[in-house]
Order: sequence, then C-alpha cells, then structure tokens
Amino acid sequence: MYIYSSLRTLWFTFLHLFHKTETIQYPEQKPYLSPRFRGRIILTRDPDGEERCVSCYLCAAVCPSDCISLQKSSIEGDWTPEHFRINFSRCIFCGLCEEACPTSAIQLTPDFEMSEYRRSDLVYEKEHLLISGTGKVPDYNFYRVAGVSVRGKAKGEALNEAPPVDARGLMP
Amino acid sequence: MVKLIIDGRAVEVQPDQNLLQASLSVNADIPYFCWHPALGAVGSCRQCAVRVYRDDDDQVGQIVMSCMTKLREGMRVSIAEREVAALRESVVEMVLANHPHDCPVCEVGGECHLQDMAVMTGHSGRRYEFQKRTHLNQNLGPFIKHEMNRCIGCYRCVRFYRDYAGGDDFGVFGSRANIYFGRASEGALESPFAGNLVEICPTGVFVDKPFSKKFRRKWDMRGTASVCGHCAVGCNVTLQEREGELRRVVNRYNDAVNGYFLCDRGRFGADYVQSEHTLRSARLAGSAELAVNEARAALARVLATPDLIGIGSPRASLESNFALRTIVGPENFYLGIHDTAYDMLDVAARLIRSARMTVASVRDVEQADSVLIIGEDPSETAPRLALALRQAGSAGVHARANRNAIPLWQDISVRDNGCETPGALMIMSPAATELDDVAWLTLRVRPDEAIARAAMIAHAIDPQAPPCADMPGIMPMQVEQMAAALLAAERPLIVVGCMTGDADALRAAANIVEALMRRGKQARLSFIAPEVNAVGLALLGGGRMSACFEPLAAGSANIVVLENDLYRRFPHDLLDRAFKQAGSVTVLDHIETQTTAQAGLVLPVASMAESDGIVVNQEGRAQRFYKAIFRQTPSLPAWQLLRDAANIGDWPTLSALVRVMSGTVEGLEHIVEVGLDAAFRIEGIQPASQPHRYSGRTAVNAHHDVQEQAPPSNEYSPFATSMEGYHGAQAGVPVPFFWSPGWNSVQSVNKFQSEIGGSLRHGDEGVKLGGQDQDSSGYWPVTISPAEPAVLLFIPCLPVFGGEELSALSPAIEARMAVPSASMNIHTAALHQITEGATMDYVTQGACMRLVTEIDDHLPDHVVQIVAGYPGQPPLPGPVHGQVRHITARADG
Ligand code: SF4
Ligand code: SF4
Ligand code: SF4
Ligand code: SF4
Ligand code: FES
Repeated sequence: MYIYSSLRTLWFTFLHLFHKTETIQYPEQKPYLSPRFRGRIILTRDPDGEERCVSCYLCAAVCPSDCISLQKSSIEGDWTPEHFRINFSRCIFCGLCEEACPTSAIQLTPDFEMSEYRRSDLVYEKEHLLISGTGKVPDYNFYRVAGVSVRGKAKGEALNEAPPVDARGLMP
Repeated sequence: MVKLIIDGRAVEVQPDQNLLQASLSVNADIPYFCWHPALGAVGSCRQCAVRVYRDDDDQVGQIVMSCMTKLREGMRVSIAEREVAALRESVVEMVLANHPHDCPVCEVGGECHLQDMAVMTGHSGRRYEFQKRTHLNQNLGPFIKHEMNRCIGCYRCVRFYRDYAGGDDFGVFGSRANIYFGRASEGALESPFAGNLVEICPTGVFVDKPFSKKFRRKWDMRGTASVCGHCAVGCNVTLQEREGELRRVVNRYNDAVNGYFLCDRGRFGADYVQSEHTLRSARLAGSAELAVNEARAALARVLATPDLIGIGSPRASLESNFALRTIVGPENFYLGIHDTAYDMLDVAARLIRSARMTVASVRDVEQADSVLIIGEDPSETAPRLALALRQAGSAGVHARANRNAIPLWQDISVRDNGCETPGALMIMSPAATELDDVAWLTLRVRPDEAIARAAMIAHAIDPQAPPCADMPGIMPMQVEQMAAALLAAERPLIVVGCMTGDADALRAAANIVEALMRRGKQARLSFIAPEVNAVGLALLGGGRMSACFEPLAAGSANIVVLENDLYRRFPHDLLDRAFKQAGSVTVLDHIETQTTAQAGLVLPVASMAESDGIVVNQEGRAQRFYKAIFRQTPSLPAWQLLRDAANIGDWPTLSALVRVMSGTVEGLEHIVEVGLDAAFRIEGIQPASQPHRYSGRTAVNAHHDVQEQAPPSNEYSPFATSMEGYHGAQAGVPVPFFWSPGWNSVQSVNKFQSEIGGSLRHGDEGVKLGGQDQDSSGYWPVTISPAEPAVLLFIPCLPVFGGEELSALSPAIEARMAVPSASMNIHTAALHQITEGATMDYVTQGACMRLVTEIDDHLPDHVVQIVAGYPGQPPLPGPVHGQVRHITARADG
C-alpha cells in the first residue's frame, strides 16, 4: 500500500515535466490577479463622487492586527473621517475590513507592489488611500438608504421613505 | 424569597419584583425595552413576553408580559418555549420595520439596547419592504442631539423626563403610529437631568452632542472610574478617554450615591480639562514660561522659606491638601473657604464624626417619607440629591399604593392611584425651587426666618430642645403642622445647605433630627456641602481665612495657594492688599483663574481627570478617583509636586501618603480602606481598563513613529492602561466599563448587580467616614440673627449651569449659562423705583454688580436674589445686606 502511494506520487511529479510552466518573468511580465485578490487597500467614493466612509469604526474594530486608525469629523452631523490611517507594515491583508464595511468604502485591490525601504513609508493616510472612483461596487450609496439627513438630503427623501410625519395632525 | 421554575430550573428570588426583573436577577435573560429598574413597568413595548403555566399539570399555559406579572410561589415559567420565542422575535421585527438604516452613523451603534435585543431574539432578516415612516428632528440645545427616526415608541424618555425628573417641557405628541417624542417647539431641554435620556433611551434618538463631535465607539475608549467634581454629592462617573482626550462622561452605577442617573452639570461639565482655560505651563509673574525643572526649583525655594502660609481647597484631593498642610505645618494651613462656609463645615464635620447622627446617603434621601428643607434649593447646589428628593416627594403615593396592595413597580397604577396625594416635602426657602411641585408646604421666607422656624420645630417636637425667641410673622400653627408631619413619618429627613450662610441653620437642623430621634424616629440629616471635597477639607482641619488675613497684614509671609481661586470667594480689594503685603504668592492650579493671574509663581498641576486621589462627599463618604487622561506632557498631581519640592521622603507613593494621613489626622483612620492600592493584582494580573476590542493600536501613532509605543504607565493605580489584564467584575474593583456578553449597552449593569436595581455584586464604592464620637448627643445652641428690617438683603443663587467654578469652563455648559440677573418682588421693586429689565448697580460691601433686574413675585419683601458664581463675577458668599443704585448716565452716553 505504502509503496503504491509513493510510486504514484513520484509518477504525478514526473508528469509535471510536461505541464505548462506557472513561473513568469516578474516584473517584466505581470501575473493575472483576480479582482477579489486581497492587495493594497483603498477608500472609494459613492456614485455621486462623495467619500463613502462614514467613520463607523467597524473596519478598525474587526482588524486583527489593529492597523486601522481613524477619527470621525468634529463637525456636527458630518461623518466623514477627519483622518484615516492604515499601517501597511502591520496589515495582513485578511480582508476583514472590507467584509465589515457597511458602505463598501474600504476595498482591497489586486495591487501588491507596495514594498518600501523604510517602514514608515508604509503608513498610508487618507490622501493615499482615497481614490476617485467606486471601486468594485459601482452602485451602492449608503446615504440614499440611511435615515439621517446629510449632504442636502432631507428627511423622507431617502429610498423607500415616506414624507415626515406631522406630529400635530389630527387625522386618525 | 419566592421559588420559581424557569425553563425547568428552580430558582429563588426576592418577592417584591415583577417576573422580568426576577428572571434577569437569576441570569435568565428576557428581552425588554420599556421596563427600567428605576422607572418600573408599564407594559408598553410588548417585548418581554413569556409563557406562564397555571400549575404542574398545565401543558398549554398562557403568554403574558413578564414585566407586568406578579410573582407567585412555585410559578412555572418558560422563556424558551417556541411559540413565545417566535412572538418576541416578531415584536422586534415589527419594531424594526420602520427603523432607519442608520447603525453605522448612529452614536449608540455597538452599545445599543435595540441591537442587543434584536440579537437576543434571533431576528436577523428584514421582510418589510414598504415605505418607512420618517420624522423631523428638533434642536434640543447644546447637550442632546435628536434623531427621532430611531424611536421605537417605548415611552421610557417621557416617563423619565416628566414622571421621574419632573420636567415639563418635553413630551409625547401625535397618535397611533405617528407618535413623536420631543418639545412643543425647538429649544434646549430645560431639565438639568436631560442628559440621562442618552442612557435611558434604548435606541439612538437622544445622543450626547459634545460626544458626537469627538465620537468613538464604546469599545474604543479606555474607561476609568472617577468621581464627579462638580458638587459635593460625589456621583460616580466613568471617564472615557482616547488618545489623550476626554471623550465623554457616563454614569457609573453606585447604589448608595447616584444609582442610574447623573445631572447635566456632571455629564457635560468635565470638558474644562481640555478647554482654553487649562493651565499648561509654569510661569513667573511678568516673565515668560518657565521650564519644568526651573519651576520645580522655584517652588522648592519657596517651600524652603520660613513664614509659609498654605491655603487649601475644597476642590483639590485630600492628598494634595494634606501634603500642603504637612509642609506648611497644620498651624499655618487655612482652608481657603469663606468663613460662613467654614463655620457650617465645622459643624458638619462634627456631625459626621458623631456616632449618633445619621447623615443620609442619596439612597437614604430617596427613601425618606417626610422631608423638611431649610433655606436651600438643592436643585442648584446638589442636583442629583434634588432628583432623589423628588422621589422622596412621592412617599405618600407609595404609601397609598402599599395600602391598596399595588406593587411599586406597577408604575402607572401607582401613579394613578396616588394622583391626588400631596408631596412629602416641606420647603422653606426665599425663592421658588424646582421641587415645589412635590411639596405640600412651601414657605417663601428669608434665611433667618427659616432658621427660626427650624428651631421652633425642634422645640415643638421635643420641649427639651432649645426654644427660640419669638419672631414676628411666624404662625405657631404652621410650626406645629410641620413638626406633626415629621413626627407622622417613619424616616424623616432634614435637608440644609450653605445658602443660608449661617451655621445656625445646620445646628437647628441637627436639633430637629436629635428631637425626632428622641421620639423614636429613624431621622436623618442631609447637609449640602459647597464643593466636591469640602467635607474632606473640613475633616482634615485648618484655620479660617479671616485668621489667615491677619498674619498676612502683619508680615511678609509666603503664600502657597492650592487649586483655589480666592477671587471667587473674597472681596477683591482685600485680596489685592493681602497679596501685595505677602512676601511671595505661589499658586498651583490646573486652570487659569484670577488668582493665578495675580500670583508670582504659577505651576500647573493635574486635574481630577489626570490624577489619582480621594475626595469626601457630603455624607462623609470617601471615594477614590483614578487617573483617566494621559497626556504627552503631563502635569504632576499637586501632592507629588509639593513632595518633591519639599523633599519629603515619607511618601514614596500615594498609598504611603494615605497611610501617613490616616495615622495623623483624627477621623481619617479609615481612609486607608478607600480605593485600590497600586500593587493590587487579581491572581497576579492587573485589572484592564480598555475593552478587549480596543482598536487601532498599531496605527494610532504610526504617523509619528511606526514603532508601537508601550501604553502609558500609572504608578499610583493598579489598572493596566491597556486591554491587557483581568476583565470582569471583582470584589473592590471599580468597573471601568459595564459590558457583558450579549449586553453591550448600559443595561449591562444588570449583570453586575446582586439584585436588579440593587447594590453592585462586588460592593458599592466608597467608605463612609466618621461615626466614632460616642458622647455627642445633646442639643446645639441656636442663635437667630434677624435680618435688618426694610434693608435689602442680597441672596446668592448658584445656577446649575454656571454656578460651579469648573463646569462653567466647559463649552457645552457655557452655552447654557443665562445672563446674570437680580430678582425681587414687585413691591420691593416699586419701593426702590426699579422697573423690570432695568440694569442697576447692586452694591454690597466691597462689590458692585451691574445686573439686569427681573421681577419674581415668589420672593419675600426686601430680598434680592442675585445670580452668583459665574466666572469673573464678584463673590457673594451668603446673604448680605446691600443697596441698589441707579446707573447715573455718563457724559459719553
Ligand atoms: S468600515 Fe467602512 S465606513 Fe466604516 S469606518 Fe471603515 S471604511 Fe469607513
Ligand atoms: S438605534 Fe441601534 S439599531 Fe437603531 S440605528 Fe442606532 S445603533 Fe442601529
Ligand atoms: S425616544 Fe427613545 S426612549 Fe423615547 S420612546 Fe423613543 S425609543 Fe423610547
Ligand atoms: S454635579 Fe453633583 S449631582 Fe451633578 S453629577 Fe456631579 S456630583 Fe452628581
Ligand atoms: S418590558 Fe415588558 S412590555 Fe416592555
């Protein structure tokens, strides 16, 4: 039994001599990486071009290496982050932040070419993270479904919302 | 005890609870929204359904709301039964049908009772696909943000605001599914307890507004047990900090003190620690900043001189006061408070030391069944105590419910049943108070008249109590009525404070308590001390300030002032003279004050939020506060600065200092039992102070230095400043944050109590001092010093917002401060030819205040009530005679 399985393994290994080679001549040649490859993290914008992140802190909470730090804006009613920092020298590219994000703001991309000579250059601030597009999620706009009134959207104007109740109305 | 069988498990519970409360107390979780241990049950949310079986043979049972169900011996209950569990899930589903998709931008997300309950019922998917109801929000002032869409209609907010806290500018509007919780029109919520809505509301409708501007999730903040520093009640608070910034103050449950509630001064007043008034660097008068070591050397030179005079502070810790007292010598240590407060605190300290007198805790106050308030408005000077007094005001309602066998948790029935019952308070005060609506008797009298009546009441209760000379206008009938009301009660309470400005008020109050005790009553006294550590300072002991000004006038003493703005307390010309004569003036403080502006040497010290120490509240309860804020360049606590400058080797640590203090100061022996020693460990590890899910540790400082730094250390506290350490409740360890699996909201405090709404399982905090003087019974002599007739009497009023020194520097409180004014009744105004709204000069000895006049017909004749205590206002330490002057038009118009 043992002998059979050893011989079988040797045989399969031998067959690999005739397979197409997987090694490519990086960096001259670029590998194909699927869109869901977990590389460099970006912050995206909603279809209206506004920042998507609403400083909910869920990505920071879920991050196993604790490498996301942000702070909600100090302006009342504004939830965009004042700063947003990822320490890529700690990030393990697990993608949990992306999974936790309720607004699809934070996304991992198929870019892995981020090496630096100095560790401190791996600390990315919001200006390094924020892109001008929607990334992998073209349509979602959190504020269109949320109940808060922000960015000129009044109460009752979100998707599937009735106009505000008149608390003084006498109709039954 | 009653025996219950919950899902086959036999348990024993206290009988006077509802089924929901009983189940929670034995760790059988039932989801709920509208019930609250302090508010009772109304059965409005329908979330707490369980199945109850008639007897052992009953297989079907019936579904009931557990919060509205009385306990029955041997009752068989099922929480897990399928149909009732499905019902609870569908209730949450319906509650959420109109709920906005807000959690990521909702300030309570992650500590939301609605989220917790949804998870508890197992509801996870939305099926309702139609339009959601929406509401407009209101601007409710600088404290509270309103987001009405999130309301689930549980009615907790109105029940707290109106029924519990006595507010009337907030209510419920509309009908059926359209109900709206808010004000009739936009504007700041008037009740000084509005901040509790943040914790009462199970959802994110009411949000702490200043916190929202520096928002963090609950799991992202280090929690530190502290004590509110804004009045002498000493409410327990948790200071939540992140990145060196105080983010918010939340209630820390203590059954004997604040229970579930704080006042807004405490909740929103602590931001003074990071305001523009904070003192950050040392300086010499006239010169620029001093470097840290230069400043310390300068202080050492001052402390090495002879002729030192130390002035303590009622807002500094016991340790710092003791350090100064030791360094200057007890005979050169003065308490730094006005003489009227000194006299009152002297009597108060003796009453606390007396074995016979029971000084009431806030919980005792709540349980009193007849209350006499002498010359004080507690809602201004001790707001949380006033909230407790309001509950005591319902004593008649509760007695009536007991007579009719209505359980006290049956909130609506109890209230309906007792709606005609008069309040249990008697209030003698010059101005109308917030508590008048729960009083059956309110007398608008001058302080001297109130004291005279108090003395007569004592005499009427026990003829051996010293009599009081007749005063015009006092009706003996009324005195007898009040005496009778106190005698009819089981647990009468006498409340007195410093507003009378006369220690005889306290002596007269103590005599009433003594008289009642001689008549077999469980009588108690509550003395409202002026500041957070005023009682501690009095127990420590020192000279009165009038005695301090004498040596100052004579020689060239070197004054060291500890965390005290003397310009708030004493006439400015007196101080200016004294400071000029002094050899040198050194001030240690954490805020810029008029006194620091006059000082020769100014040194920054740590505030309560940035240091460890002990303060003693009005009932003599010594409570420990721990260091909550860690700055890059911290200021040292005053005691440490003084120790190092004076080179004292006896106190290498805070605990060592406390031990020395307990050994040297009579009455402070038990102080060593307060709080935890820095060496305290639980099975060898430190208790943690950050939640397990504290985030961002490897990124928060990465822009400065990509190497992670060690968490700050605190040599005086046993708490680890990180999340690494022991999590969970332990005997004697103050809870840094209330959290329990599945209970992320403040309701998790349930899991820390021995019985729901009762004391904490591991003991409530604080050590009550005093009670050691055996031979202290007997009556005090009381002398009445009548006010001069027909001369204006100025009476200070210290508003909740602005009347206290430190909180007035917090931006949110500043936004609530009104323009200072003077009020009098229409007679007095007419007599002095003053019209409403006129700006006049109100002149007393050494002070002239230019104030707008208001008419308040509650005030007695010749009494002017003056808003005092605002920053920069001249001091008005107690009732004084004064005059009013018309402003003469100046040439320039
Ligand atoms: S989870 Fe998404 S929305 Fe929330 S803070 Fe992170 S990036 Fe922003
Ligand atoms: S109240 Fe609770 S459930 Fe509602 S949006 Fe806020 S966090 Fe979410
Ligand atoms: S506002 Fe909050 S407390 Fe008031 S009814 Fe709505 S959910 Fe309940
Ligand atoms: S100010 Fe007084 S009553 Fe208010 S929270 Fe602080 S200690 Fe309590
Ligand atoms: S908690 Fe029982 S009905 Fe609301």
